[in-house]
Amino acid sequence: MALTKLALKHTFLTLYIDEQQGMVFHHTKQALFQLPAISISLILAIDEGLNQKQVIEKIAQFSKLSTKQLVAYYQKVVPLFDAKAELIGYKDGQYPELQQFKKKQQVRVNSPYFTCQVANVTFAITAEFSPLFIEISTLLSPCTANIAEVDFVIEITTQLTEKEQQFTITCNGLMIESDLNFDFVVPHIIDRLQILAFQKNDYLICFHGAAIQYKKGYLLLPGHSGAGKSTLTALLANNGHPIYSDEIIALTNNFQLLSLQLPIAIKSGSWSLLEPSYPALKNALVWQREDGRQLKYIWPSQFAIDAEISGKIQLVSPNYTLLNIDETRPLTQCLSVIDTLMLLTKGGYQLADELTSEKLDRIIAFIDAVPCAQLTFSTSDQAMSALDSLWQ
Amino acid sequence: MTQTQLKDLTTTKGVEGTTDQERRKFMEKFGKLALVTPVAVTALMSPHTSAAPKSCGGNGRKKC
Repeated sequence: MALTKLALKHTFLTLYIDEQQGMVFHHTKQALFQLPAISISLILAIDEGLNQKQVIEKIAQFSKLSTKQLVAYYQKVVPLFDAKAELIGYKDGQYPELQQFKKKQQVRVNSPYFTCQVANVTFAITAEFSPLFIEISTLLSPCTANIAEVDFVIEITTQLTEKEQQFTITCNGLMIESDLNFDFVVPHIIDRLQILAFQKNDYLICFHGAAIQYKKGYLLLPGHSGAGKSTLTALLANNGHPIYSDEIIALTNNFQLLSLQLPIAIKSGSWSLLEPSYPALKNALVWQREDGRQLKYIWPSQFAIDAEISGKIQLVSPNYTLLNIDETRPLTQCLSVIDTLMLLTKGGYQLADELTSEKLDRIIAFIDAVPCAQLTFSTSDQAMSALDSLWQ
Repeated sequence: MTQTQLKDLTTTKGVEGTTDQERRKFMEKFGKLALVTPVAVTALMSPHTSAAPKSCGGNGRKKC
């Protein structure tokens, strides 16, 4: 559904509307907001310079909402007309070791560092505790790189407490995590490598989700944690589809997909499902996240190479559910541009740099050009079959 | 890559009156459409919510 763009008399606001809902872009705050129908109507009335009483009277002429309801919505909407800029910018979301990055660091020959590369960003990693170092270097061996200079040096030190060992992680001399038990270390390391890899690249925007080369095009699987992205990604990878990433859909300024070659994290609920395709899962070490979830790591058979997106793209937000669903019909729901943006940002996103009107229009244009759907399924066969149908 | 059809109703070549009329038309249209909704304004993107996406948390949380 194409969006209609309306510039307002308050020139720091721009409206985007479809048939049902809208968004407003606040130029000085560099912020984008979703609006239901009533808020669009109120914004247009306030923009005419009317005071609260006049706005309510005007809208009440054609709205079925009560005066009390209109007043409540008005009070939520009117702060949008504050033209003051935010005190922080998008660049403040960069990780501190990037903000302080000056130059690469030398890695001494025969030093106790394991060196690796992710999306042309280089790392040297060491750990005082040998078993941990062995686990990390073994797990990351597919991205080993023989390099003398690295962007980031990650060091894991050990502290012995009365009860157990605890670990501290520093990156380029900055302490980034502390008081970690053994089981939590590797997920933190993998996450850090992933995030530093895309943040150090020339990216425009990234979303939480998987990006896969699918048939002669690209499949984007955004969504919240637990929705089934990683399991689907692992299954697709096993079927011969190269992976860009199972965690981060990172788009460059030219809308290329960044390939972040790191192992896929599989949560415990999918281990038995994936073991036939990935026998190494059976004996893989179990790691943990602070929220209690257990996971294991697997490597897909092939990664995609960074490339300009020129083939067909489909965005499918997986929604795994245990509810009983008619096996012949997994549910697919087409998403509008605004609904897609809501889904993408709610699941997790990051902008590299300031959000200008021109940049926003490019992002909207990209989403509008890509068919977007939410897929609800309860078995992997359902999901794979539905993806095939959506691709036709 | 195709471009979205962004119909900009406030082009510099547009007639001021027409633009105001179009705005009033949308004001009435969305006023009539309006239903009770729990949230009047939802932040989609802002410097406060932009953060490296991580598996263990939604946006706004920089750490697990």
